Amino acid sequence: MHDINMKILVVDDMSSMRRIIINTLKQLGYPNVDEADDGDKALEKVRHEPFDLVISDWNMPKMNGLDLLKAIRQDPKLSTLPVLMVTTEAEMDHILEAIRSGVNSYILKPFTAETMKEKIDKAFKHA
Amino acid sequence: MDFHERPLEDENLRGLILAGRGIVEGNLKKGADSKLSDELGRLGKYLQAISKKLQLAGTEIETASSQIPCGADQLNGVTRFTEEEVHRVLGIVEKVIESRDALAAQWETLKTDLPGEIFQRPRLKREAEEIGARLRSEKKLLMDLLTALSFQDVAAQWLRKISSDMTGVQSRIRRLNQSLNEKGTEGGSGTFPGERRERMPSKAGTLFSDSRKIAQADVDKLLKEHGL
Repeated sequence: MHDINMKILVVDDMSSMRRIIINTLKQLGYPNVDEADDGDKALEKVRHEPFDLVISDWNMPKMNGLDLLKAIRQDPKLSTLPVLMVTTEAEMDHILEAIRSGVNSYILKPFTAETMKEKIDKAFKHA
Repeated sequence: MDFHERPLEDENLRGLILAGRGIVEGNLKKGADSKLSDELGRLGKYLQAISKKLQLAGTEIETASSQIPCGADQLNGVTRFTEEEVHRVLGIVEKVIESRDALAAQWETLKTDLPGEIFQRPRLKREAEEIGARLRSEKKLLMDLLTALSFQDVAAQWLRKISSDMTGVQSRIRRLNQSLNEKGTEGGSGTFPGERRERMPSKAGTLFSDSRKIAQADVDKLLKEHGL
């Protein structure tokens, strides 16, 4: 079960998107949010700080969201960390790949706050 | 009638095949009759003319394609511009959300501070409920406005794809021109150097109409099928 004090990491290479997601999370009642602008930095953060949820984009320079997800799942200390993807990647094959790689939920951009809330709840239900 | 305007006839082809065999076998006289020599001469001239035309066209194409990087730069500029503008709009939205939250907090304080019997009056009770409903509805509208701005990332992805496709088209034009100017040194293989290694850039239009792309409702169905 999750609570409003949980720590969330938002990963997106676009600063405007990070700001939108962080604001949405704050409005949904999750004030404890940190950010990273690519998969490499995100992996570094989750390896050194405790996070309860990662919300990541797919298309990013250096390490993309899918590789970040795979790296998290392969790390014994992080393998159960819930990962939610918020992305423009709408191809069936890509979504299936994310599911097979262990994503907890998947949101297409542009999204709504209701969808974000629903997916966070479900991500914890299935974590 | 010019050579290229004539229909391909079995006779011509047979003649060419015979001449080809003769060349391969080192017997130039075999099949190289006068009619065939004329045909080959005309074919040579025609190919020369075509080659000149292609070289001229190549220069034109090269000039036109040299504009592609400017177009790609402009698209990248549009992405940067929209990102900056989204930040500006976000700044405004954040201020409005802050103001609305402060108003909602003040309203709650006011309701607590005022004697409870005031809200027993039907008109005041109705108005208090309306204010509460309006504040909630405004919060939802502002949230929708906030998340709607995520369109910018979708647009940016499309622009990035178009920009990358444009660059791909330019590199193919360059290779085509190189191939035309190499005067057949590739041995007529029918491919451009490196073509097999590089995929043909996809049409930008498929970004908007790709049938493989699905909507959030379909994603939800897929997630459900996989127990998520």
